[in-house]
Amino acid sequence: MKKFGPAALAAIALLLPACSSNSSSTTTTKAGPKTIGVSIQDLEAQFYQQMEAGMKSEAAKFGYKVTFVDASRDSARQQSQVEDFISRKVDAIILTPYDSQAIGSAIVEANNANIPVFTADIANASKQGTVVSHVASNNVQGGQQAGMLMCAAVHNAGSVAIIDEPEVTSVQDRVRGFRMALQQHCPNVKVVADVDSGGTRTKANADTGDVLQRYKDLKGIFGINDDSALGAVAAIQAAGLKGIAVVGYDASPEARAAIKNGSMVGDAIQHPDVIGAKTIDVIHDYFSGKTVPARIDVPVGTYTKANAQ
Amino acid sequence: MKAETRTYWLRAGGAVAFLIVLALVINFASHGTFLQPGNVVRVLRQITYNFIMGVGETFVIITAGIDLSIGSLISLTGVVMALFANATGLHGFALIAATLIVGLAVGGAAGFVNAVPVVKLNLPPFITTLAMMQIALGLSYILSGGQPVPLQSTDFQNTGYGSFLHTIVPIPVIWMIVVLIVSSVLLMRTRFGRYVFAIGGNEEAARLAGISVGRVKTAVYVISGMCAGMVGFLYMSLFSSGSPQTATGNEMLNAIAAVVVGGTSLMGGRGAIVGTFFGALLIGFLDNAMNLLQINSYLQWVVLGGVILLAVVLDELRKRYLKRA
Repeated sequence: MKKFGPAALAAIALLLPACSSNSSSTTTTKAGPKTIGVSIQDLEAQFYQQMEAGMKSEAAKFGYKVTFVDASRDSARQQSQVEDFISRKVDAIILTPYDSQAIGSAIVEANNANIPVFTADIANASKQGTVVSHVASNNVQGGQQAGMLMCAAVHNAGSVAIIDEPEVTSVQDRVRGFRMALQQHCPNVKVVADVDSGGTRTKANADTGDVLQRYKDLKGIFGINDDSALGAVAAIQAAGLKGIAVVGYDASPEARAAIKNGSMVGDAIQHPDVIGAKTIDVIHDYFSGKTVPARIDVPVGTYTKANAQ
Repeated sequence: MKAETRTYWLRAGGAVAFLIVLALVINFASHGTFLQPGNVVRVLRQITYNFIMGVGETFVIITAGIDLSIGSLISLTGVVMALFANATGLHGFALIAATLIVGLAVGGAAGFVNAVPVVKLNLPPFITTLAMMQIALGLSYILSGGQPVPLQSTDFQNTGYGSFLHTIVPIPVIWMIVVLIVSSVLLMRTRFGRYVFAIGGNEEAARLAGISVGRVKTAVYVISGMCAGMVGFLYMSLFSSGSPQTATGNEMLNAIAAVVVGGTSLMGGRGAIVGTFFGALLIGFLDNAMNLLQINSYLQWVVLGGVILLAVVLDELRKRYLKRA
């Protein structure tokens, strides 16, 4: 019975003001198109544009009406967007929170209106609010992909360094996966340095220089994002060194160019379009009355010179 | 003037002696990796950016002002230069020179905008440059669409991380030496430099003495903006791209720290480019040494903050001691 709650409430609410839009007036019957409101933290980012495309094409398959709004990296704006969705009585809300703590109160509002909330890419980290399902990259597995790239690049032996940003949870997962892969696949590769460069290119560049100075026999560097990896590449070039394998994460256009010209060996690559599509799939399952898992992992792939042609 | 020159050299000598002792201690602790020529050269290359930011800031701070916009201006000029370099059909030296001029012009223009409300309306530079910090960062993100702008030309690589004589003299270090000499002469040996000190010492007295205070103040903010443009150019060349995220972290605060550790007074009227060089060198040495000694990165912040505090406290105590003697 519980899942008919939102529909029933919406129907009651619709009886009061007779001027509501036609899209939500059909929620009582199963035949009409379901509406989904999506608030994305930053639609200017390529990553989220790809996620949006994945959602759009998957929603078209099921005939859902999807509305996208850009929170423009502003928590207050995201909150009011959720409130707009509630007053428009959408059937489901998808969020990629800008602030994983601050999003809690918006989710509570949607919960109170009996609208199911799903998160994509970034989870609700606050103690408030209930999210039906969270869909995101499996960063541990992504780190493992990066680790296996590293094993192959250094021929299963030697010392490597990690240009880290340990205060970010997704990065912690990446590094955990990276270390796990080294242990399993190439135990002779040792992580000799793990420095916190804050994920920025300037600091990664400076810190890599210091690491290269201390470990003259360094064989490889794992940058936890592409800015870290590209900062390391610049430091290696400035030191006039060659043959140090750099592995990054995300495969941004610049990293792809670096992989193509050989200054990086490869990247772990997330699939935001798949994250988008899977989020729509889980909503479809939920609408059809299936029980859905609280967390759905989307595998992370690799991007190497073979992909760069 | 002569006594002043003597204390100036005494201060510089003291700083050198302090750094030498510190370097020897660190070298011992790091089993000799610290003072290897390659490492020393690398530290010099690494402080280039902080030092050049600090030079502009030194001029501003001596007039008792402050420029908070330099980090954002590095981001903005880097993006503008990368877009310009990709759009123009120039090659080789002409491309590099034209791109640098564009960066200096954008930085200088932003500095001019910083100065106008300070000079005309007597508004605090803390506020006007804080506003510019936001404006420049926003523009940088708008122009770049939030993404780094990769350089299509490879002509900048040599400027960014090339070197003379097989990695012995990195090209950024040559830029640093040129900036060091030109700015020192400008501040210490010209009438303009004397006006900068006079305004910082006592602005009203400077005005009564017939100094065109407005023009001199405008000039220092323009210089600061141009220094940011030059750092934007060097970072863009190093990374082969102009990114809106470049230098938007602690870079501006580190530059101010270098200036203050170098003995320039935030109250204005006192300071030196050589001091800023030693300030940047001390911070760069410490960063490098702590990485070599594998000190935890959070502890590194504590140590760095402590050193900044210690440096200014020691400088103040030394000044009081000299006054009494």
